[in-house]
Amino acid sequence: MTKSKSDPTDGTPFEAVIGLEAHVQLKTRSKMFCGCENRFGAEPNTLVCPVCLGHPGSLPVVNRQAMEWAARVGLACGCEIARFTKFDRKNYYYPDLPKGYQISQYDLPICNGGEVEVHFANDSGVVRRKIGLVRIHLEEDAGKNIHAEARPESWVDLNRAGVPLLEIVSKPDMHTPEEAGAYLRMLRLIMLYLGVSDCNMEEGTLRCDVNISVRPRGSTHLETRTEIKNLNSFTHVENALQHEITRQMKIKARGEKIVQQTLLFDPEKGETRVMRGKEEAHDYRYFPEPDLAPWIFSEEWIESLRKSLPEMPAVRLQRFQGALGLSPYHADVLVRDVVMAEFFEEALETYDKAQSVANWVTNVVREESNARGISAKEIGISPARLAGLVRAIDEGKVSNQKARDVFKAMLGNTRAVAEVIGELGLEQISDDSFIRNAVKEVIGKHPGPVEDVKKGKENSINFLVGQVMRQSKGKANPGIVLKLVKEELGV
Amino acid sequence: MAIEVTDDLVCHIARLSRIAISQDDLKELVSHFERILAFVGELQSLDTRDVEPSMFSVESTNVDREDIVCASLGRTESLANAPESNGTFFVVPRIVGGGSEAGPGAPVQMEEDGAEGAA
Repeated sequence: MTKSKSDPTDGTPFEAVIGLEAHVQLKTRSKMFCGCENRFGAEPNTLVCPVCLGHPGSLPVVNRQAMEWAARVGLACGCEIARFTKFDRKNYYYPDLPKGYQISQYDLPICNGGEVEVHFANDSGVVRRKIGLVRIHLEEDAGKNIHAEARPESWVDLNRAGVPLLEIVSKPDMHTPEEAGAYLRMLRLIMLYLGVSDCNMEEGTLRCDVNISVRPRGSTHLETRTEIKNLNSFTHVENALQHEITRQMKIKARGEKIVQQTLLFDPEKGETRVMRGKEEAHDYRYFPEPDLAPWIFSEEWIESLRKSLPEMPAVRLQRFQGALGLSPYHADVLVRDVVMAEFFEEALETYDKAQSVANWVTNVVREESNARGISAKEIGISPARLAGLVRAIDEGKVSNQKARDVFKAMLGNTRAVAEVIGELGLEQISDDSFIRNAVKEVIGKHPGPVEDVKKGKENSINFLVGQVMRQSKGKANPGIVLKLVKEELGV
Repeated sequence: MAIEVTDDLVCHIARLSRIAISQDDLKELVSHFERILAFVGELQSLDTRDVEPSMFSVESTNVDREDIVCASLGRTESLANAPESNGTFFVVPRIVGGGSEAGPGAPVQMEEDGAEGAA
């Protein structure tokens, strides 16, 4: 669950109203309207052609995969998919926009309505909320401007120009920075589950603009809002909202009015500043794109897309907690990592004690993959072998503690659990008579602590258990040791 | 409905198009705009009550392509028609404010108005 952020409106007579516009780059192989490769990090201006450079006479052609994926995202969010949709030109001049217009969608977007179910933890427990969507439309990304050092010029790289971009517009349904953060994280997860985008904020494949206003608590009126553009990390979104909500509350508390404006967030200083720009710059003069034919989604097509949807995060979360009986924490950790969740489910095919497997996957497997910066599938132990190890722990063949050594020894090879345990000499001893002998020996050696236990000092039991464990070189089953120590002392 | 073509309207369109115009140009453009609008305005005399709005001039739909990568231009060729380049990037007058992360929909922000003459 996302870490709780403080709500700046707490204890004030105000409520914040927040809406998000997210831009998600689709990871199609080629661009939206031409065959140039869609790839981050290539040498500048090498993934360009007459179409994405906006050369006269060149004509765009729609990438079918991008259309399908846009509809797929819409279906996953419960949107109404337009049976008839079209593209429009959004006209504005900027150096990263070679044609002088962006091909976007104006009045007939691919998806209308829909909602995203988010969950997050705060002081009152786990909160589940549905955030409404206004629309989702498809457009093309712009190029990238780079500011030359010490020269009165800027440089433009058009590799990104024409990359398919989904714009997802939420309703102003959010009221706290943490809700906005949870919403954005869930959007990202939905894209990862659908396999349509990497949503990597560092590489800019997920970007976000936020709209914020503040109103008296209990009011349903929408007041003058400001917009913060280009937030490129989850933390920046939350921090920028905190700052802007606080700023607006101070202005309102003084009885002054909020000025509608576009702001930029400075993450270094943690504050927003006004983006210079004329109001008239927002006059985009949209008109239907004459170079692209309209688009029709047939009922059959939409149905086949609907049927091909994978299990979505909110549903999986419910299943993990309900049918599999996982704790909310473990279910949440697994659902947030697609590969780890798959690893977990594959392990269950070998050993079906879900909570035991989940404990290991979310602790040891996750630690290993985080430490090495690779996914759970790449750490060098198959889900089936990991499941075998968890089973061995549950069956008392190796202690939970020593199992970590076994785990390490199983990485990067295909050896069976029992063989590794045997070779490392880590078989757990669960034999009662053997352990009872060791317990008696320890009791004989430590009369002091034994007296303490009899006087009611619980801690001394742990000391005696520790001594038995030490004597058995950690191999004795700690549960049985404890049971026998208590038996022998009659407590 | 008729649009009144004023100096302000023409200047507004010129600024949006990032075209620098002089006072003399302005007079001429106002009259051009008026004539163009009057010409197109003749369409207004038609009765379109029962006509479906048209979005596209030909009756085709779903003209698309497979998601397949094709060869791009080499860099030399891609920069060849640029007014100014440095061999790697297109070079433009310095942009202030929003910048590279601005992305689609960013307001127009150049250091000087009418800077297109500099290229």
